[in-house]
Amino acid sequence: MSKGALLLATPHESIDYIGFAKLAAKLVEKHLGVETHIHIGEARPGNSRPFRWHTGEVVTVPWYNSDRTLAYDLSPYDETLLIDVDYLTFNDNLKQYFGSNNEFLCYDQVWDVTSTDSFKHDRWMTRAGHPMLWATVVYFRKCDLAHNIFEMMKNVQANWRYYAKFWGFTAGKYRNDFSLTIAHQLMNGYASGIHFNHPLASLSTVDSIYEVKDDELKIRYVDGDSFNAVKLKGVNLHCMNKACLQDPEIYGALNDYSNI
Amino acid sequence: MTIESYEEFARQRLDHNRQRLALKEQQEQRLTITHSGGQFRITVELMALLSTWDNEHILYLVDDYDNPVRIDDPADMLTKCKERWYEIMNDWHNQHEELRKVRRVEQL
Repeated sequence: MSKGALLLATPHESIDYIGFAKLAAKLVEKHLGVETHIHIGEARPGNSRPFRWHTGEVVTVPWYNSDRTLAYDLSPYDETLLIDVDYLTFNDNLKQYFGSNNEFLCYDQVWDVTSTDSFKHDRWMTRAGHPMLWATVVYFRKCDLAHNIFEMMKNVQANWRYYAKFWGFTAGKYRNDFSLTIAHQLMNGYASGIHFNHPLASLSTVDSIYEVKDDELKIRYVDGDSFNAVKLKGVNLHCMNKACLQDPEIYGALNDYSNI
Repeated sequence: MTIESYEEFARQRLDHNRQRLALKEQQEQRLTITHSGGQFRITVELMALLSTWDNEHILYLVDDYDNPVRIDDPADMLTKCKERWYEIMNDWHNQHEELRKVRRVEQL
């Protein structure tokens, strides 16, 4: 059985997603010891997304996220760990899922590493309070369940307005987390399936990594009207603050660490 | 003490508690093991069961994903659990001690 990690990146005007993908892939190889495959997709205009960075600046940039539904077709592996390019791997925790009995796993809970509950608005995706799943990291093996979930995601993507109205959320930008949640629910027989047994460690766009020393990250976060800090060591992290990842000092330090 | 110093004290306690929570969360995530196709959270209860199980009887355990798993070699599973437990708890303890020694989280 072949196994590996799949990363989907798209050339972008202001965010270096391809550079992030190369870094994330090297961290996966270092800690999980599996092959990686970076798929460079085509930038299809249409979706955009506002980001509020740690500097207070708010920028709206194109958001190329339509390839995620193709992950099943694109993956060259029997067992795949599909990860976002802004997901930094610092331990071997995800390695144990390869060879397990699981067919499809994703996160249903997020852990804000700053303990300031930055993701309180992402717990539910609909007005009726349907819990949201995260498409940031997905483990799947080539099987009927995984195939059908990705096919259903394509259907949700193609009929976004219909599903938004039917499920009760605002049909603004297309969001993979939402389409995964819907597809996962439907393909599990209108029920919640199984998820990773731990929450997804995440850093919001307004908080930043300000120092990297090997697998140790120092995090600066907004705390009321001032800032505070927390230290993480050996923790896999979904860093949503692309601006800080793009900082040459931070990127350089992470890249040096990934090369050791 | 002034009210400002009490406020500062409370803030330091909050920061400490946040760092302790982050440490707990990050270490607990790693306290898992894969064995016989199942995935298990390593607990003292699991290790106690494994250490007292006689190998003459087949052991079935329910894993974290609600799959009943047949454990062919409980002794081997116990060894792996202990190794992982030691690795994580040692790391956790060292970082916890480091945190305990500092008054302010910024000193870490």
